[in-house]
Amino acid sequence: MMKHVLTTCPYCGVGCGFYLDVRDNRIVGVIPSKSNPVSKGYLCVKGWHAHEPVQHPDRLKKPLIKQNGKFKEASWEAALDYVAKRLSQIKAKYGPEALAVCTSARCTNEENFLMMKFGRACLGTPHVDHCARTCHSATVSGLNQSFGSGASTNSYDELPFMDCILIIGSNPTEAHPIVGWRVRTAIDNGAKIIVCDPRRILPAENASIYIQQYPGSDIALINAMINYIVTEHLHDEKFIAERTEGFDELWEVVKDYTPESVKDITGLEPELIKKAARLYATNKRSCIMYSLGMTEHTVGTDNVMSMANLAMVTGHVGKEFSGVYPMRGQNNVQGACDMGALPNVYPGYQPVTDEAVRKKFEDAWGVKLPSKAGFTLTDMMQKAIEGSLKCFYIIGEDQVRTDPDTHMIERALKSLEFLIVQEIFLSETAKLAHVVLPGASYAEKDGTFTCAERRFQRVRKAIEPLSGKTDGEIVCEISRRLGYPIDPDPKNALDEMASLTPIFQGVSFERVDTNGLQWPVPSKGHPGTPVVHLGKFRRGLGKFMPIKNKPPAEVPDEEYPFILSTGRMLFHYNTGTMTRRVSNLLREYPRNFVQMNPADAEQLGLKAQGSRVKVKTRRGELVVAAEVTDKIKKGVLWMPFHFSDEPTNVLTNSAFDPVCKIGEYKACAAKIEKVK
Amino acid sequence: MNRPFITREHLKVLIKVLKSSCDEFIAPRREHLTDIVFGDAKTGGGELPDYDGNSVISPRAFLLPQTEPLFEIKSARRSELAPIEDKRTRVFYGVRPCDIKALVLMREFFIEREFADEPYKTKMGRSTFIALACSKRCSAKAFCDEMGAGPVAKSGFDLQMRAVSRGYIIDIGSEKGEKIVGENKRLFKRASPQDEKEAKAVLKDFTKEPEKIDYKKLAKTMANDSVEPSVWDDIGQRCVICSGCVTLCPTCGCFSVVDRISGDRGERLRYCDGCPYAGFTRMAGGSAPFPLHKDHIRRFFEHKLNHDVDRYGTPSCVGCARCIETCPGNISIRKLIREAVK
Repeated sequence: MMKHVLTTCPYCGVGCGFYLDVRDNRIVGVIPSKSNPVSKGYLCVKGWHAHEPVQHPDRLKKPLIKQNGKFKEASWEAALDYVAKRLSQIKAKYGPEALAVCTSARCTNEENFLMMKFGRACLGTPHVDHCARTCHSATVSGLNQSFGSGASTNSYDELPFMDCILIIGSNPTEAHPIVGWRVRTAIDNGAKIIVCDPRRILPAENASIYIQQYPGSDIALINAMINYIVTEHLHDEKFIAERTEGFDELWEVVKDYTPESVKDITGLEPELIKKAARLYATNKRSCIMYSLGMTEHTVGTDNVMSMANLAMVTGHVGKEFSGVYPMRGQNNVQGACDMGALPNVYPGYQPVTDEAVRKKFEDAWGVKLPSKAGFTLTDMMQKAIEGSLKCFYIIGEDQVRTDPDTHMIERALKSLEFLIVQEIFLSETAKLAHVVLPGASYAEKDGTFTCAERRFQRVRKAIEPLSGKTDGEIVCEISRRLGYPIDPDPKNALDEMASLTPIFQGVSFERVDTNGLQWPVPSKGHPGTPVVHLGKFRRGLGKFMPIKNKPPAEVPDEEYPFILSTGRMLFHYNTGTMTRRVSNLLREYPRNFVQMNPADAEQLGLKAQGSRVKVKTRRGELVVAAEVTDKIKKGVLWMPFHFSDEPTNVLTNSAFDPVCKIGEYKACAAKIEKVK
Repeated sequence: MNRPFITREHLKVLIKVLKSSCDEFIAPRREHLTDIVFGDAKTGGGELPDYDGNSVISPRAFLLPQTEPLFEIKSARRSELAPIEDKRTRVFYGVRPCDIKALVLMREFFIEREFADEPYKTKMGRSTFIALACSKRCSAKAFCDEMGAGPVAKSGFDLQMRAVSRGYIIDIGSEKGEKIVGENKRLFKRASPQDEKEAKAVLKDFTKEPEKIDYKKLAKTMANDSVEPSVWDDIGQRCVICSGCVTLCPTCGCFSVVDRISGDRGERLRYCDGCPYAGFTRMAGGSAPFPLHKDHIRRFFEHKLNHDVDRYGTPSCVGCARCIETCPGNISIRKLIREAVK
């Protein structure tokens, strides 16, 4: 028996469509869908191999309960009964606020809705969050303040027709390759590209301007661009007057940021900044594309609002062929945010502190709901160490390997009384759990993912869950045992979510089925919204936020003279639990490494490419191979974070943005030593 | 004597007969919206007796799947193995001439030359191929006619159908094909001179401006390394190593093997592999004969346009344009050919 099951790629936030080629319940390959509006028959190397990890023998198939420090397989009945018992014990002993739920950007919208509902309505805890905290929480908080909506303003299909694309802190050809294809097409169509990145990434090879700023100097760079644009009268006065507020306050700050004045902070020649500013401002169709290179800083929110300032000063937002594109990192990180898997909002960004909103959900769910915002994931770790949080239920996330400062995270998770981890492979975080519940991969469930252009797309079941249950079903079974039955059916979950959420009113399986649907969808027959803020920002007037440059929490000094930055590479995805189980991908990059400039390598006395070096920060150290390349700025080191057995995050800094609590993965002080 | 002929009505009957003669009837089926993909229509139905365009993936999806189990490892410790064999009989219906030519080349590679690949050979031996000649170009990027691989197949099929207004003219390409016609005599008539005239007109229409590629000259240009270096530099900067070209190319046959073991048991898989990966030719210890990425992609083109001309006397690019239409770097083998023979 063979079938082709159309579904959505489980890796990055682009949201490509492909068929899983299923023969006798074995998924043998991936066939791209040419009719998919996002990917149009294109896929990246991860997508082409997305079938391989699904039925890998390492998949968890049975629940595991830890006894005397060792995992023992258990039946679903036993494991779920045990989980329910422990949850109610802890809740009875310490109150609901001792519990926290971490939902998953890898799971469907429907499952995130169910998990969020389970946390708030069944457990009664306000502490619900997920890994958007460590990638685009700064986007949600930043763009929301500037524009009134924390998501991409425009759509992918406008990109090939741009005149100018400013790519900053984003590596589209590696991290979002099918958006990278659109950038490539834009270049082929004659677009001018400006790349700002401490590493000379592939799009820089064909860029009109390449800017190699120091990590953590982005605000200085953007403010200097705004300064030059306004000084040269290249700004859009009409747009500023009609569509925005706060320009004078912005200018009060930005007027001091001449391109000349930021030379030392950014490491850039003023002329280069001026050229870039002119190119971006004077082209008719200009947009900004950014990603974690901007958000993963202690100034993440400020970085995002700086870009919003730049877009508004030039009037390059709020219309077709313009805008600000945050490239989301995970298949459904947009959706998990949208579903209210955040500590301060219900689905559709409705504040938990708004009484009318809360009443609406209380009426629908028949329970009293927490009235205050919960802890962010970052705070949860601190509260676990301090002792006020006693139990985490983590679904599909590997904090031990993805969160900054691994040793601190391990300390936090080990200090819990009870840790439940729901996973498809035994991750490092799962190893610390008291109970591991075997989840289902994307190929084993029905539902929707929402990609970076705000498009809901269908996920369809190709094979039955290997463990017997989908993630949504597991959560609902626990909820039932705790006396609060929830219907796990994804179609019903989406309908319920839509009925409670103004911006998703028109979303349903039927509407999403053919071509997906881009939110806001405020009514049943609404066609969806490819371009947001047309004519008027979601918040009314766009708000200029005066932002000053602040250095990273940790800057190079005599002892730690390098800036260490981290990121993602083409062949691997996050902690590599999936991509390291794909033969072709693993073979390309089987081990961790550190990129460094030839001048730095020479100073260190490195003879050969691939020499072993020890990278040290105030938090940890790691021995890896050196990849010596002139693509990286002198004084800067770069490492990927995909390798569980050589984990980069033992080095990174857990200093965080005060607004959105994102960690500073992109800049910390480090030193490097030769290993003899 | 005129060639056999079948009406559209009788073709439906023939399809029914063929379906009952095999385990899987692999035919073009419309999946979501405009997507056409070869799938089994024996149980599910939905075959398109005639269609525009081509399947997203060629019959190689069945003959050399992206991942394929070779044998079961019953005990790694005791070296106990059990074969996993695909012995299903298949009728491939509606295969385009470009893919038929690809099958001829793959037969050379997997069966006819130095050694025979048993899994591939077994499947080929149990397969029947019914080609459907093209009346119009399947996509603006396709160039089968320039590569001598379409719009009509010369050999490699059991039966080939050419559409005319009344039905289909049939070419018999093998004994197997002869047998199908023989056993279903009542469904076939003879083509009329008018039908033959029409078929000729269709062919002429397709190849209005034939711009045949001098593939020998092309191969020589490549062998002499006289393609402009900037062409390779550009290609190297475009390729983002998605592997789509080698996965969809109907004449790419490279694979690697891996054992997927859990405890003492598991299986050996082979999986699609090929030129774009740096690891494909990297040696133990990390040294690479061709360290530059542009040379990895060049290897793909050299194989299609140079080495196979040497080996088989014909280029192994069949002009199906699948690699062009799936390349996120907008690399075009057709453009490369033009630039090379310029």
